Amino acid sequence: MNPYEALEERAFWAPAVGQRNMLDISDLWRPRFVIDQKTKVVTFGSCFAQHFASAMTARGFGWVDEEPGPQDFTAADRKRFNFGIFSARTANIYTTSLLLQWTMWALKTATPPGEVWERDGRFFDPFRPAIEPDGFASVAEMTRSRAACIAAFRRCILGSDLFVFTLGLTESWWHREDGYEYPMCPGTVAGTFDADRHVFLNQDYPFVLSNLEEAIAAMRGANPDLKFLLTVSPVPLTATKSGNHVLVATTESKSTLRSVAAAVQREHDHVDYFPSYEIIGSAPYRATFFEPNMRSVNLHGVGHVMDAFFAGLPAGAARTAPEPAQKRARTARRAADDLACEEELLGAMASGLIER
Amino acid sequence: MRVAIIGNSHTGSLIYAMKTDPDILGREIEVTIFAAVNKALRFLKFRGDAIVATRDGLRRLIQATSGGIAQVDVTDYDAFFLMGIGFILRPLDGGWSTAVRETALDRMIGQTEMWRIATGLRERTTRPILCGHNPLPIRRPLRDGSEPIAYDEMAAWFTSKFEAANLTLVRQPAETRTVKLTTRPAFGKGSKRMVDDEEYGKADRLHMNADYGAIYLRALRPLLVPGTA
Repeated sequence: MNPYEALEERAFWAPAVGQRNMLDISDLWRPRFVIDQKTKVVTFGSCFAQHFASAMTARGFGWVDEEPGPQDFTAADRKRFNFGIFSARTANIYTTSLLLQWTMWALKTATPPGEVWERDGRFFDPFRPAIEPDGFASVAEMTRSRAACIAAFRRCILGSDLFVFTLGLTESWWHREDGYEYPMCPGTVAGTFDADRHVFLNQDYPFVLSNLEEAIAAMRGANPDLKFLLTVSPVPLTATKSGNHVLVATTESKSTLRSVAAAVQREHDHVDYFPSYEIIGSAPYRATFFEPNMRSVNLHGVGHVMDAFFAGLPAGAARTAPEPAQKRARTARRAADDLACEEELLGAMASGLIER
Repeated sequence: MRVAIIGNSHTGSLIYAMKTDPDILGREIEVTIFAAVNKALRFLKFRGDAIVATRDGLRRLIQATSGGIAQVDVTDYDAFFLMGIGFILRPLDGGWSTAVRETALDRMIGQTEMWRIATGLRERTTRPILCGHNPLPIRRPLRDGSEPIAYDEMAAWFTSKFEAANLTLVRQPAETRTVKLTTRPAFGKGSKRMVDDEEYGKADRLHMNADYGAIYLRALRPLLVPGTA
């Protein structure tokens, strides 16, 4: 008997994938630890992480919002001011090194730099440049807002059971001398690019891995029971500074992130990986879940990913049955429309929709 | 001087204060109260120069406090005081930007039945229209690390908002408030429902008693009759 003979059907391509309709591909994920309605879940990372928050809330899971914003806000207000998108108002955390940077600020092993961006008398947070649509009224106001966000991020670390993090990018921009990272290239969303001060880094596997390992270790140091669920964003790069074609750059970037996620999952029992990247982006799905621009994930893709997530949980873990298809489509469309993704602004620049 | 008070359940503290001292607002002021539970007040609609109840239940509630008068004829009154009707002051975190806070303040009043009725009245009369928010609760949970902005800062914003619409904000009297954006607990003791004299009980943290109503009415009087402070 050879080692393959005893394997389950899911281990073989033909019965698990090749001979199935893509929508019947199942059993893609078996959770390593219990996730149920009592689990306090926080979500951070790239744009795609936002879908987890809305889907988990809709299914009765304990998604934690530590910076919920004013009670009287309308849905449009929340979107405009970026409340309720992640579990704290960090905006997108695209890279593992940015995750580590936020973690160190939250756990007080580092302090945020004093850099502030100013334009026409308004002030922008270099680490959340689009968090306020028109910037802040003063430096003090910006600093208070960021301090509140860091405090909320700290509460997320200390008070939650499950930290969902979606790895998004390897390409990053740094302050050359002081060694801190920006979520967006200065001069794009806000700020001014200065080639002497701002440096590009396309993070390689060891760099991404070590930053993620360090961030997880630091968070577990503060909350030893904290578990992690990693996902990789299936959304291709909007733009690349790598010098490669953006399609080639995307493959390199996502491959690195996917490999890191696998390595960290293999190494630690408290880390799991959920395959949203595979569900959206792999060949058997024939790009069905992308919009015509072959970048944005469509409503069916979001719904299918979240169905796969809930299907992986034990029976009864989710409060409600899946919504009817039409309602789910509406919900997913709304969710897709509501995505807050600064990186999209790079694409808007390329298409001339906004001024540089 | 004839004054119409239109309000929600929080009007109860005023009603009980006036039962204790019928002349507390001054003998020259004749008050008619049109009050009902908050959720019913959305069925108050303008019909010409009158505010009418468009549901029988609401009409009966209003008549119970007005002495049988079923509608507010705008031309019958020299001034109007609106109490609560969805106008609730909620804490705003000091960590939020000015833009966030101002948007939240605008929503706090702009989406209320209070604003709809006040601005509707203003379209029909030039007489004074005074607006007061629900009493601050006697206790409220606050998020860890949250530092709400001060009452005076919120009131200053609302004052400007109301003045721009030719309305007047009535502040909750300072002696009834704490710095934590709550009402002093003593004013919650023995608070009673508007109509049936039933006490709200210890679990209630929102409704105030006749002592609160008395302080409130004494603060309201100079706004209705300038120079009588």
